Amino acid sequence: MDGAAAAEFSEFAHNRWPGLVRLAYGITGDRGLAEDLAQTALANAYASWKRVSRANDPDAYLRRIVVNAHRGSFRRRRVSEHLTAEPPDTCAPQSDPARMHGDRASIIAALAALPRRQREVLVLRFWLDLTEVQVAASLGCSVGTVKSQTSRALAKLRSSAELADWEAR
Amino acid sequence: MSIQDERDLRARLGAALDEFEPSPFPLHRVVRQGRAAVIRRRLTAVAVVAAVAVAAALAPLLVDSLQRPSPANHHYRVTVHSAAPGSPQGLVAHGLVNHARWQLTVRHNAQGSEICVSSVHGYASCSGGPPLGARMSSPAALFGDPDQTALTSDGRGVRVQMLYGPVRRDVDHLRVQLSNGQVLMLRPAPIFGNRYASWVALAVPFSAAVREVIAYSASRELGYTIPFTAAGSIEVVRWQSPGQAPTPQPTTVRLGSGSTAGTSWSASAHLGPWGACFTSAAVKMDICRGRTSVLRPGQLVAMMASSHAGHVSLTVLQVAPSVDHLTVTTSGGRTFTVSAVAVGSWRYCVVPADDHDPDISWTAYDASGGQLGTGSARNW
Repeated sequence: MDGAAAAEFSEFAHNRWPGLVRLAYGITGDRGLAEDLAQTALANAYASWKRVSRANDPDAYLRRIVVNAHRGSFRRRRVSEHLTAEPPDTCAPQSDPARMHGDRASIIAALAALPRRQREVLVLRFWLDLTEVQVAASLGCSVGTVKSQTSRALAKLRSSAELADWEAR
Repeated sequence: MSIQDERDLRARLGAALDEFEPSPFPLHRVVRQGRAAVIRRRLTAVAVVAAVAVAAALAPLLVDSLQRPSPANHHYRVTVHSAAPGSPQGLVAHGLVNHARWQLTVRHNAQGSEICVSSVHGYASCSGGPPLGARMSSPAALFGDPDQTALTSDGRGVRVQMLYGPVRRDVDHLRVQLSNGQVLMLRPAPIFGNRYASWVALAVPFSAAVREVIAYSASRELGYTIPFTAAGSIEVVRWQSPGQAPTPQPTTVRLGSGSTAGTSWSASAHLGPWGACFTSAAVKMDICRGRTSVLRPGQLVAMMASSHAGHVSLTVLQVAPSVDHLTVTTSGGRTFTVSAVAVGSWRYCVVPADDHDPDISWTAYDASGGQLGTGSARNW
């Protein structure tokens, strides 16, 4: 990689890093693993920079690597970090920082309780706002699978203990 | 489920993820890992075939002595059916692992610029274009896909590992011997037409191993490979010529262990006819190279493998025979010593690094304490 390409990659990677880590965090619920996955995705992009830099949608390429790497990481995953929601303070107003922290932890914990594929579908569909077609392409599955997994995941979230207050809203 | 619920989910995910603050971007780690990936791809793609036939009479005896610590699971049954005329487009092969069904398909992506491999069910990984069948240097470029889930008819998931890849045009079939003694014949499937390499695929249980793969043309043996199997990953980087002794003898040596940035780690080298493989569970290292030595004349240290997980990276170095140990100094002022370990005829050492203190320099010493040279992580 020459100097210009290296600079181009550096800028690209710096810009993508936060979003990739957040995507991986949504999928894994584990900060360390999320950063590993994001790093792996960008290292792959580095290794294939000519192709990635010319791709129509390099972000789709990175998303796919994160998802695939997440699958691979299951095998050798070390002790996983389990997020536990703080007990919600029902008397606190919505803007209360403690309440907000509990909300964030509870949605991550609820996601972590879902099967891997359902987690991936929800994060791609409802956080990245991808279309069902884009989600299917990212996961390497059919649109029908995305729909069915989304439906099942939402149903599970409704009955999730971590989101016990969700149904009542 | 109402739209209101989906909006709520969007809002909650947004609050949870948008405000999640990642650590600073580790550019140097990404570049190092990317470079290692480039090296690994090249080594995998251009497997070594050139060799002189030696001691053909001794080969069977040596092969018999090559039983590495093998997985405990010998009670399994694998079937492979290569794609036949009329099979679905892109299908390479399908079969059963015990009662679980697997298949492997290869297709061009939508742009036609890459090929995408789908193992077992769904997920595709894409890279490069299909190799030309006549230009491959080794009989086959086989890739391990370590953790797939094959499904039984009652929906039960069975962990399997895949081995697949393109084969050279003159290969008629591959003979594969598994750890349970079963022998399989893999017939290449011409997925992309006769101009490009045909493909083979195989699935075995996660805890099983592939003992040997022999490539045959229509009339003779073309070469053989003894894969390295560890933690469910089958690695093929080195092919040997027919009759060539399967050297070096299998040897596993622990290169080092320790604790860095709160992470306990150890790393091992596994030399054998498969080449040189380096493993470390702590940093998910499972890297094989076809050559056991990468040092150039006059060079003191050269990188063999590097991997990173959490906030720790491990780099395996080959060092010159004269090197006894390295003293490593980090930019943060930490100094520690790593000893070179003899593995077969070569010497290796492992250097840990901490994300928060990543820049390191080294000084190499001989056994009597004499300084041999200095350098930094940037030039190994």
